[in-house]
Order: sequence, then C-alpha cells, then structure tokens
Amino acid sequence: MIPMALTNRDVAPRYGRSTFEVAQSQQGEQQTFDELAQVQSVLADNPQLLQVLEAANVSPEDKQKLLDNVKQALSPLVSNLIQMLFDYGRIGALPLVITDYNARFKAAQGIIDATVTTAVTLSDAQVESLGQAIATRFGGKTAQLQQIVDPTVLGGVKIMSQNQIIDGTVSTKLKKLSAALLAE
Amino acid sequence: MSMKTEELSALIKQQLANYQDDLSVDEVGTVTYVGDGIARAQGLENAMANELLQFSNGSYGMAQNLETDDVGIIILGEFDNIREGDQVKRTGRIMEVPVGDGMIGRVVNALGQPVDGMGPIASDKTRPIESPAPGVMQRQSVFEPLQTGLKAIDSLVPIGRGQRELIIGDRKTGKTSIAIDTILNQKGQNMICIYVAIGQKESTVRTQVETLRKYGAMDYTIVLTAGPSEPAPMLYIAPYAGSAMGEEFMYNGKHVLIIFDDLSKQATSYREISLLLRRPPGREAYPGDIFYTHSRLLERSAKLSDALGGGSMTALPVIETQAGDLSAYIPTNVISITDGQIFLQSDLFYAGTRPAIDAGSSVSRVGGDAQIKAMKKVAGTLRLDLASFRELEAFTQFGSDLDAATQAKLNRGRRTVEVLKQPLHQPLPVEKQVLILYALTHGFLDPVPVDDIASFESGLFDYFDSNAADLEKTIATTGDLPDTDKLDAAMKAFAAGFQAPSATSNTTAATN
Repeated sequence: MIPMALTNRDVAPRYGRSTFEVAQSQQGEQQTFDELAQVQSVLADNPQLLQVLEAANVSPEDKQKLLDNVKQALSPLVSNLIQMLFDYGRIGALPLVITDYNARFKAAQGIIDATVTTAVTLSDAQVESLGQAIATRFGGKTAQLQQIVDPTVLGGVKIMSQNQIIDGTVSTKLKKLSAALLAE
Repeated sequence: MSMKTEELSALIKQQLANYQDDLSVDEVGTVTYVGDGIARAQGLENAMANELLQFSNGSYGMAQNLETDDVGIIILGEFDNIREGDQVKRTGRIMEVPVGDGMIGRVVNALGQPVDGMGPIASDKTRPIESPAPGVMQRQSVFEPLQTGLKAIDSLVPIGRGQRELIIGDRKTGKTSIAIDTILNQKGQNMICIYVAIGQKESTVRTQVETLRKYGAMDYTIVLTAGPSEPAPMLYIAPYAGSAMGEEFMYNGKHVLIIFDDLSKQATSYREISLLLRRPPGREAYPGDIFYTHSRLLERSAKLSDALGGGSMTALPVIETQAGDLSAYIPTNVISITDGQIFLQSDLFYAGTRPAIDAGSSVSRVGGDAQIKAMKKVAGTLRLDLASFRELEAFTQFGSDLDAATQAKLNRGRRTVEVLKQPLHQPLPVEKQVLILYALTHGFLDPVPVDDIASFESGLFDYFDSNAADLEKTIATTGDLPDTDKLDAAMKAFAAGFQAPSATSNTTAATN
C-alpha cells in the first residue's frame, strides 16, 4: 500500500497499546478501564466537546482550559494520555483509543462481549447460563451480554460476538425452511 | 391441473425430511467503505483470497485484498443499496460457475446465469472459475489441425488443437469476423465452441448470436457475455468463467475452442478494479500482476496427454491495438504469452483484402505440425512468394520495363493475394482450400485475369464436386494430395473450358 497520511484509525491502536502496557506495569488496568469509561460517557453526553477541541477557530488556550476541566479527578495516566493526544493534534482519535484499550483489556481479562437478540426478556438465570455458554464457546472466562429484545425473531436466540453470528432464531429457521421448500 | 392433497403432503414430508435444523453459524464483517463496485470490510478475519462473500442485500462479492485490518472486496452485482455498517458474510466457497452439456446453445453472463430468456439451465455441476493449468506431464504437443475455414489462416498461419493464437489488430479490421467464421467452420468437427464477449456492445453480441444461430452454430456453442454496462468485476472474471466451462469438456476428452473477445477490455476493467483497490499502478497504470492475469488464463488452454483423455482447448484471444501499435503494454504481453498471432491491418482491410491478414507479421509457432500433408505441400512456399511479391511491388511502382521473370512473379503475387481473399461467413473445407492453392501454385491461375479469380474458384469447386469428387474425398480422408497426374488432368480440363466472365462481357460490349 502506498504510504498515505495516517488516519485516526491507523494511530488509535498505537496509543491504545501503549496506554494498556503502562497501565499493566502499574497494575492499574481496571482503574484505567473505569476512568476511560467515564471519559467515554462524558464524550457521549457532550457531542460538541470533540468538535470544539478539533475546531480551527478556537484558540489553543481556550481548548486547554476545556481540557483541564475534563482532566480533573483523573489518574495521571489517563490525564497524560488525553493531554498527549491533544498536544499531538490527535484528540479526534480519543474515542478510537478508548475502544482499542477496552478491547485489549477485555482480551486480557477473558471477557467476551456479545450481543444477544431474543423475542422476550431473559431471566437472570437464563442470562447467567447463556453467558457461561458464550464464554466457553469463544474461549473466554466471562461474557458481558448486551441484550436486545426484538419480537420479530419470534423465538430462540441470536448471538453476535467476535465477528461471528450464531443464529438459532425461529424466524431464520422459518426462512431456511421456506427456501428449502421453494428450491424444488 | 389439480394435485391431490395426499400427494402434496407426501411431497412436503419428503422435503421436510431432508431439512436440517442446524444452528447457522456465520463469520461476518462490517462494511466500512463502499463505492465504485468496491467495498472494504472490517472483521472477516478468516476470509480466504478469492472467497465468495455475501452482503446483507443479497449481492455477492469476491475477497481480493486481505490486509491487516480490513478486506478489499469486489462486488459482483447490485451495490447501490449496500451501506456503510452493513454486514458481510463469509460463504466458505470460492467463485464457481455451472458447467456441462446443459450450457451448450445458451447465452449466459459471467456468473453462468442465462440471459437469453430460455429458462433455467439444466446443470448440476460447477467448477471454480480459477483453477491451476495442466502441468508439463499432463500435456502433449499439438498435432491435430483446427480448421478455421479461412484460406489465409489455414495456409499461412495454421492453428492446431490446443494452441493459443492471438488475433490482433486495430478496431474495425475484422477480428471478431475471423473468430465467428472459425466457430461456423467447426460444424461437424466434434468441437465445442465458447465465445466470451468481454465489454462488447449488447447489440453486437445479439447480432453475433443471431449469426451463429442462422448458420446452425449455436448447437455446439456457448456464448458468455459481460457487457459494458455491467460492473468491472464481471468483465474481469468473464474469461476465467469461460475457461472453467471449457475445462469441463477438455478434461472429459473433448475438443474446445474458446474465443476471448477481447482481452484489452478485460485488462482495462482489471486496471479499474486494481486502482480502486489502491494497488500500486505500473506501466500505463496497469497493476503489477497484469501479465499474470493473462498468462494464467491462457495457460489453461492445452492439449492434454492421452492418459487424461487427449482433450484440448484452443484459445483465440483477441487484442485491439491503437493505430497499429504492437509495442503497447498489453499487446506485447499477450504476444509473448501466445503461440503466435494473426495481425490484421486496416490498410489492407480498406484496400479490399479481406480477411486483412498481414502475412509478414503473422506467425504460428506450433500449428505447422498440425497442417495436413496436402496443405503443407501446396502452401509451403506461399509465405515466401507473398513476401517477395510485396517487395517487388513496391520496387516496380515507378519502373515500366520489367523482365519476364519479374513480370511472372508479380502476376503470381497478384493472384495469390486475390486467392487469399474470402467473403464473410463462407468458410471453406480444407480439401477445397487445397484445390485452389494447388491451382495457384501450379500455374493454372496465371492465364486467368485477376478480376476473374473468384469466379474461376467457384467454378473450379463446382467442377470438382460434379466431376472429380473422388479426388476431393482423397484429400479429406487421407490428408495427402491425390495422384497429381489425375489432379492436373482435372484442372486442365476445367481451365480449358473456363470462360472468364469479364472477357465475355467485354466482347458483348464490343459487339454492341
């Protein structure tokens, strides 16, 4: 591939990896993870924040003041990360860096992220056993399930995780059945 | 027509018995970019090169670039309704097309789907479009002739079964006509023809199909078309799909003729795909593997060893040049891959020499071994004669006084050029070609005026058909010249009775 300007998507893994390795050496992975989750929710609550930080018509001093507000009450590691991204003009990559860190943290902890689609809300026991099954299937320790209730699947469960879809829903089975009957 | 309820439920039961209630497990990726028939997707970590992928709108794609964090995909079909964020699914299969006898007589697209409105194709077999070419031990040298039915080709640049002979020339010089005439001449020759139209106007393809149908050639021909309105990937895969269809017959011991019309357009569409996939451009902006694109395609045409059934696939790739420039990138590449080329010149074409074959720059590197003996005897010196004629002709343009030998050479040359002319869609069987070339090389044509050569030729054929059919038959069956005394006698008998039509019309004009 021809070298082109590095995009935020290209640089995010570099920052993410470095942050994770520093956090590991300080044994503060969990704390960093929690703090980054806070930052993420701040960013989600204030969509304009990143826009302002990246805007060309806002003076660096004003941006720095804004950043200092965000950095309050954060550990030195996370606040340094944010400051460094800002100084290097890569503050736009912050959400991607957080995503990357999260992926590394979860992989190290054996946490499997999965999206589960069902027709009805699952009971706690069902969630528990499903989580256990998913964790074994994908070779992790625990599973974090994000539940979606979608009546159109009619029954069964659809699991999306690690770039795979395991589909055991009634609607898909009906579709396959109708395809098989119509194929002749 | 009514079906009984019991029958219906029995049928459904049977189908249900085969239905398997499996969990479907799919590997998926997310589309991050889509445009110009190209998509990029993240995920799909285990995707294989050239694997078929399915988008959520039902379109298929082919994995082309496998990079560190995404996959470059060429989309084979609708891409207007693919959105960023859509899912794309692995299928675990590589691209395949239907093959077999059911394809014969049909017009299909690059995916092997019928486009002739004659219903679905009865075929339960498929072959991957990319497959390795036969190796050294699986081949044997070319020895059987493939008769094109064109005097100028069968005598000067003979083609053997399993050979790759390039047809090259400017636009509108009769490249496709040579290909179509060759297909027409394969009637009853135990040959299956595949005409792959790449980027040809749909109207042109329609005309060709009608021509083939009119002469009864669709009974043994498959037409595969990837039109200019289809996305570039279809044009790119079309010749491979055609080769896959041909290989099925070849590996079953049959003889196949495949025509790629034309590979310049395939190269252009591959360049388009490659640039959109951000592969580095090279000479004339073609990607680095453009040579391999054509060499691996043409290498699949072969003459198989007897152990493998002795089938063959003869390829006639077509290349369009710009203003006769043979040293452009794609023409030089394909010239070096093929076993010879038929070079068509627009000057000759407009001067009325049709087919406009330039005898000097056309060669066949292996076909000579495949010529029948009779043809070898009559056509042996033809190429040299033509070459010396062209030289003399240029030289004597200004002079007036010529010695008898030069005059004779010029006369013979003019008649040779005239004999090698042939009207469209009238291929000649090899025995007839031998007859007229025999007449030419043995001086029977020398007294005939140049304008009357065509009528002499048709008269000669009629005469032999009715008076000396056994001589023709000897050539056709043994492949050798019959007893020359008999042949000479028959020729003399006809020549003596031949009335040149131009001479008669002149005399009638004089008397009036």
